[in-house]
Amino acid sequence: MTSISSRRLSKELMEIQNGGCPVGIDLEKADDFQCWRFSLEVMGESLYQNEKFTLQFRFDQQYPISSPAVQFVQTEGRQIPVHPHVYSNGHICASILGNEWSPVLSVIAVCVTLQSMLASCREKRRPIDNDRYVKHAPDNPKKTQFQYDDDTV
Amino acid sequence: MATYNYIDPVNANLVCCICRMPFIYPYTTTTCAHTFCRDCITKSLETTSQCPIDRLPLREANLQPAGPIIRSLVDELLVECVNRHLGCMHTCQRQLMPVHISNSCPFESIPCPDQDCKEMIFRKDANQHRDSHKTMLCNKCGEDIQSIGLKAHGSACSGRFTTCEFCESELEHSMQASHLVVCQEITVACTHDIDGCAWEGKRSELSAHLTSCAYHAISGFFAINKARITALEDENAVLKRRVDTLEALLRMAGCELQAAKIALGPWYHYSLNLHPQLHLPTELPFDLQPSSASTSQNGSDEQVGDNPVGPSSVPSEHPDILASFFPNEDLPDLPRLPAPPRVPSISSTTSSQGWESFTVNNTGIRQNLHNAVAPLNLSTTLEGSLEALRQSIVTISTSLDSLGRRNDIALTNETFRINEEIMSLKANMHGLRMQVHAILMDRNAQVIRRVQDSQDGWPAPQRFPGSIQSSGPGTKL
Repeated sequence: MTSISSRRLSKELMEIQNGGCPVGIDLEKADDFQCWRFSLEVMGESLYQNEKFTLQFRFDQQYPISSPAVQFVQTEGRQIPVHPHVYSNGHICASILGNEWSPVLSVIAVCVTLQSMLASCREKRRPIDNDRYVKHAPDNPKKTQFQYDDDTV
Repeated sequence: MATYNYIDPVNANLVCCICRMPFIYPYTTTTCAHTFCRDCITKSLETTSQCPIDRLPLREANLQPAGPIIRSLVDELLVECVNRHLGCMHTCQRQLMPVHISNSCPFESIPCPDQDCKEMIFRKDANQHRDSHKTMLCNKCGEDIQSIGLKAHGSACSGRFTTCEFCESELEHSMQASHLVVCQEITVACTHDIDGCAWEGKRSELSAHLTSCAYHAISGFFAINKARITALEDENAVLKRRVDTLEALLRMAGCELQAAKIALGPWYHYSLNLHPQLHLPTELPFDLQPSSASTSQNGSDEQVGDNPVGPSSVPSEHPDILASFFPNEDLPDLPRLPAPPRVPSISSTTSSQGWESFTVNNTGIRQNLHNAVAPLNLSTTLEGSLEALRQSIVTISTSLDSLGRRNDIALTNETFRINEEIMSLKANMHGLRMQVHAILMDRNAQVIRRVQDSQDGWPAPQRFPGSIQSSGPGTKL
């Protein structure tokens, strides 16, 4: 018996394979229904021109009721983007990945949101509490209780 | 239910935003009118009490079943059977699928109805499986065993050995039948008993007998003979079937011929030249020739008597010719011809009589008309006779026309004559009136003169009946 999460993910995967990804987003790995990887690139005028990042999704059995665990990862030739809401360990402080997650959102919708978050960045810098957070951060970003204090992005 | 495969692409409006599948038990929010599957939205509300689409506050109390239109739209979507991977190719509306699975799907696993059996079986295999639970009586040891365990029982059966009644050797039950074929002590007949050998004895002595058996010596001849007889029988059967077919065809042809004869009536001619191989008796042709030369001129009586002989005598000849093919069979389809041949000849006589009675008074036309009626010549073809009749009608109509014209002329002449006579009578009448007038005038004059005389000498004046008032001389009569 296939679970609801794998049915939903297989449906999303089929849509990606049939309809393709939005510009700048590419599916890199989707071998199972536990962990997917996308390459992310910011198009047009931005601070991240000619930079490419790897975005990792981890799903649990409750997806899409519960949100996926999303973070940037370091792979060969690709770094974690320097951004006020992205910690150096790849964790992202974004409300839609936390308490504003909605089951109607999809993997591609998350990708597009993060792409626009990078595109609208004014200043390349780490979050203020980066060092403190990275020191104690759990492996899964979902276990972090973020304070969403910046509404501009 | 969440795992159905839908056959057709589903309208995007019927897809739940959460599971991305067509709604199952669709529920609509009363606050923002969004629709989700019942299970999807309940699970979502367990985590966050807001609408997944617009994030408005939402509680379970704000949910109500979606409208019946939405429900029937998703319930009527066609789905594949969930046991398709097992081989069930059934498809039906989604709402009927649970019934299919619980009642009819042959690939659905059901528990064996037998209480003791814990097996799960496909529904299609249920009967077969039930048979395996039936108990059977072992025919060797009399034990009740399930048929599923029959094989295992066979080797363990207590009564599995038996003794051959001929050679007294001990053998297994299952081997008994096969042993009887080879048992050396059993009484057998000679292998040539079919051909007539009467020898009987033990199987062990058979080979010794065969060396001396006369039938064995000529067994090759029997084989050849048998093959020949079989071939002949086969051929005979084929020929019999062909004869049957041909007989049926012949009978059909005879019926058709008879029908054609009846339709043709006196125009049917039986020609001997067409069947030279039949060797009919020589006197037949005279009877068969319809004597039609004297038909309508004078010999109509003779013709009526003669004509039926032709067609009706033909069928009576058939049994003689085909006697060998139809030994005891009558030909019910070939009755003697009744009235039909007479009809044309009778009509021709009545018509000519009618003409005679009609032309008695018009002697001038009589001869003409008599010739105009074409004789019904039965020796010609049907078309020829029709043509002749048609011409007769043309002639008759012409004669009728000229007769009418003659009558017209005669009538006109007569009228002229009568007119003239009337005219002359009128003239005579006029003359007579003039004379009478003159006489009366004369008379008047005499009377007047006499009156004048009496006035002179006679006392009383006298009146005369013929004279009216003597007032004027121009008294009119």
